[in-house]
Amino acid sequence: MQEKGFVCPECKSELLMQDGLYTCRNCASEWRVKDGIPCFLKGDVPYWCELSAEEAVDLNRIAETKGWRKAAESCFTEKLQQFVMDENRINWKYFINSDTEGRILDAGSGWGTIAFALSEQCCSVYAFESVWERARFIRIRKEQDKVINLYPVCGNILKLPFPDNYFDVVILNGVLEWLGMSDRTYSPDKVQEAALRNIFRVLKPGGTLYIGIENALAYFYFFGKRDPHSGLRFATLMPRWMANIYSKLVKKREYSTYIYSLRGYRKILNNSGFKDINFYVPVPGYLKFKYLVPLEPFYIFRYWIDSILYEKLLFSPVLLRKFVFFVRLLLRCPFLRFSRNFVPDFGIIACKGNSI
Amino acid sequence: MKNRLSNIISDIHGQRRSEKLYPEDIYFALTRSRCGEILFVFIRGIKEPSYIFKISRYDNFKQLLKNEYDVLTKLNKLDFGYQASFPIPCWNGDIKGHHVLLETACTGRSLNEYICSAQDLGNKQDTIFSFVSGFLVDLYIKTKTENNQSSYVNGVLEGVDLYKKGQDLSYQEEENIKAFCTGIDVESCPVLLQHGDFSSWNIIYDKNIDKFSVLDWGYAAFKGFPLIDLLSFFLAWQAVISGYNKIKKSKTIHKSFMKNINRPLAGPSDFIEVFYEDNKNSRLVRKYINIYCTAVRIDIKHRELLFLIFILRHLYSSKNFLSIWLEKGAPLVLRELK
Repeated sequence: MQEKGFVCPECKSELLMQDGLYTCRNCASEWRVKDGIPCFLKGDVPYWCELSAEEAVDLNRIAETKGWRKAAESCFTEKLQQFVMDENRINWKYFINSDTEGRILDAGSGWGTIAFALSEQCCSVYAFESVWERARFIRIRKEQDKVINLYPVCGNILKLPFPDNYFDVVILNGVLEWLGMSDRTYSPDKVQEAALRNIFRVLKPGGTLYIGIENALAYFYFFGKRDPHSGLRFATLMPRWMANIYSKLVKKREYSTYIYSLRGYRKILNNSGFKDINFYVPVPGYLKFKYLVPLEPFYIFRYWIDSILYEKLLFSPVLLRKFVFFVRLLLRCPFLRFSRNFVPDFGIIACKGNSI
Repeated sequence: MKNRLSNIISDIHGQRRSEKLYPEDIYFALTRSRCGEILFVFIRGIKEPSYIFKISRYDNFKQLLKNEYDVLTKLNKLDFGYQASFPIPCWNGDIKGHHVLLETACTGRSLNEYICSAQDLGNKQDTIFSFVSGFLVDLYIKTKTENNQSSYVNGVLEGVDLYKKGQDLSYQEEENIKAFCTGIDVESCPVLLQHGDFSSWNIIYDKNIDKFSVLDWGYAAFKGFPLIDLLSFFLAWQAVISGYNKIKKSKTIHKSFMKNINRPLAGPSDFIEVFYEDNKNSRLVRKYINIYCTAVRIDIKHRELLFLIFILRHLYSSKNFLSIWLEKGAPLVLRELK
């Protein structure tokens, strides 16, 4: 099948393409190509972005006239600029068995950092994004950098417009927790599971899903750190019904940004069809990591804390060194292996089985 | 990518140990370095890494990896006695735009940890300095070649050219340096394998088997000068000690621990403290410089030239070091012990 093999997101039937319009043979749905980007969105879509809608429009206007780098310099904060330009965010690729040089879907591509970094090494990358201005920014950057194997697509992760068994790798980096907000008719966990089943569908047999996400039981939540998604303290540690009431009282909205524990992610991925699931700790965080360490076997995690982390922290303040020294002592106790359940973030690699 | 790397490991491990490894027996842990990525390779059932992949996609660092492979191949053919070892280079090649070097992992803890965990370094420091100077004497003896095309004076003049590429050097300062070289015979000198980044963070010690391992030979050069590595080591050692002393008094927790300096770079105060002051540490440095120079027969004038080359070519050189030398002249630690 040639590239841009879209299917109808509603009924998964073949699409006919004519004059910038995709039409479904089966249900007659129509999807327009706007500004060179196939757009598979219908109705209102929640907007979430580091910039406001007006700022995002300005960004793209500057990007088109003065170049995307200039636009990034003038519209992004310094931290966001570094984040957008950081090519090391794809270093999890060394842990993936599937063909990272094949066809890749970056679901929830954001400003396209990961997609552009991968485009240098693989056959084709689809940068899938639900926020229109972000997709436009990716398209502008693609044209200015002359990247021919990257395809921006605007759509909804719950209705992926791709055929079955299409991708070698799908990336879901900092996305899964927000999916509950995109369809309020169902509970967030059902929405997340539906998205994962959709991803399972579009993955080839033997294909891999990479998820970068927070841990609901991260140790700092026990000390009252706010959940960055809901803005609430201790919400990730509560039963969902309690967190929901708490959120309605404090934030006047439902609690829908679900994150899970290690066991929770394993369960939701198993329910979606994934079997071979491996967990890693990205340090300091999954958005920008310097280390990526497997949680199994446990002795690797312990070695890393004992040797590499301890050496790196030799010149940190005394309290931090004492904390790490304490953690090293804890890791010596076999029954305290569960300490790995309290790491800040996870990098999860889940494989689709080889049989169709 | 994991499949390709796992296949390489399986092949190499099979050749070295006659053991078959399957992909599910191999685990990676990733560290990012300034040169690229480092993958620690763990084999099922073995609690320490068995191999290390060094990977880079940047042209200048690819060259370092290729250089490291060549140097380690030659080094492993030499016998440095029971106490010194090096990683064994196993494989070297390109994978999809990345240059990849596979070498065996050495066991032990970095010397930095010994510096920082010991209440009083005392005898440990002596042991470590003794190993370092002994190892470098051995390196001199085993790798030196007589090279009629080089001399210490030429080394200074080349160092000046190199220095000017990164720092400002006034005409007067350049003249002062050249004046220092006047009257010294431009005689030939031996060249040898120089590590290029010889410091406590590139040496690990395994106390279980009483063995030091010297790592990271990417900056090594076969036409290097004697004494430079030793001076580099002492300066870096001082920087680590003073950095650690500063930080251990601090009680605040930084927001992001990754921003902490884990390799404090030497500053002017460290440079003066270790080479120019008269204190317990500098006396020890002087002792071992003398041991080294006596063993490899470097006289006082040549020591001073080599010190100047060290300043001009230092990996993390700053204008401060040269300014101190221009002001104070050759340091105390180079003088012979009576």
